[in-house]
Amino acid sequence: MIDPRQAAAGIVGAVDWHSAVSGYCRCPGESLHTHKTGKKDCRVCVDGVPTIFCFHSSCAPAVAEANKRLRRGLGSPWTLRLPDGRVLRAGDVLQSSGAVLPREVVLARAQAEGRNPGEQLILETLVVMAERFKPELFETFHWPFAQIVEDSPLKVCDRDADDQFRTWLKLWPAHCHVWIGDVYSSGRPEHRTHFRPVADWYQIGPVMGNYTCGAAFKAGTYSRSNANCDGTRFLVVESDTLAKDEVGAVFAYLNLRLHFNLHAVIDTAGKSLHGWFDAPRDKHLEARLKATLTVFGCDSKLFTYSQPVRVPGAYRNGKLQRIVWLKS
Amino acid sequence: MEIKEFDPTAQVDPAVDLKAIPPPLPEIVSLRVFAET
Repeated sequence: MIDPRQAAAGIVGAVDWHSAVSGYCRCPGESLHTHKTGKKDCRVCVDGVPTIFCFHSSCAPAVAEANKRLRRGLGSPWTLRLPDGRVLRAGDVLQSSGAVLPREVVLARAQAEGRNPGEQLILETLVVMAERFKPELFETFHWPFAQIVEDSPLKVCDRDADDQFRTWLKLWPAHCHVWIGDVYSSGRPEHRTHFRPVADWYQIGPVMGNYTCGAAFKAGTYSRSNANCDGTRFLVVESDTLAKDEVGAVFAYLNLRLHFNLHAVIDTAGKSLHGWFDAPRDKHLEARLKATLTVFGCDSKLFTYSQPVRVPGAYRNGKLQRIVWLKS
Repeated sequence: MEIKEFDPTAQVDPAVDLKAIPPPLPEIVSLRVFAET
């Protein structure tokens, strides 16, 4: 049985282990770096998806080649005894809580989701990395409610209900059919009136309900289901647990680090804010984003595109649901 | 906080950003350019 740490060291050289499964090493492509190399720029981990990761981008081909060798080297069964005596096996994931996620659970989850086991292992590893990053997220990207309002390129938060609603409608391409209603305004032919083109809603105003969806629907539908979405959609990021002063950090991270375009931030007239973003470009990215945002405290239902969300311009218990940040 | 505008095709994979996996290689790597770096 091979020792995974020795096998890793055989590929990257000496490793300064900072945990049982992860440590800093010399980048296999260090000679290609175009900027100064720091001691912690390159890291190797052996659990989950064994990976060498370097901050520099100029070394990518050499790191990719070393990753192939690392995964080939750790592809046969191995075990690692952890300091507390537990045993980690190839394919297990050491979680940030210290618990070991057995590979059988990874496989079962992959099967349940109809997912490739390798992709499931990436998702489980991503969850661990996101948990480690979470404290830094809220510190680095702190974007409290008052600052969000102040930073808005267009000052819209004081507009009246009609103006809020019509301003929000402009986020949609003109051809889109948008649902507006209350949660149960769906599923029967009489609910067809809740699915209308943007131009119709512009005339009607915010009077048909308190909710909408981040997705547009096929013309003629009366049922708010994923199958009836027409493909035009936003990712509406929300959280039941993060306060208005906290969730902005997730919005800022999504924009500044993951390069998702932010279109609007909506105050739901309750405890939360909703961030309207471009939807992920493919299903692969969507699954990884879902795993990450769930760790950060966001609602995993946000990836159900027919999920109802608060519409600006409607009132909730006498308070206006309104746009507080809008791109110019 | 200055929110920025990006090309929608330039969305970054969180698995790469959080270092769960290394970044993908560019689709076309010119050996000559690579050798010169």
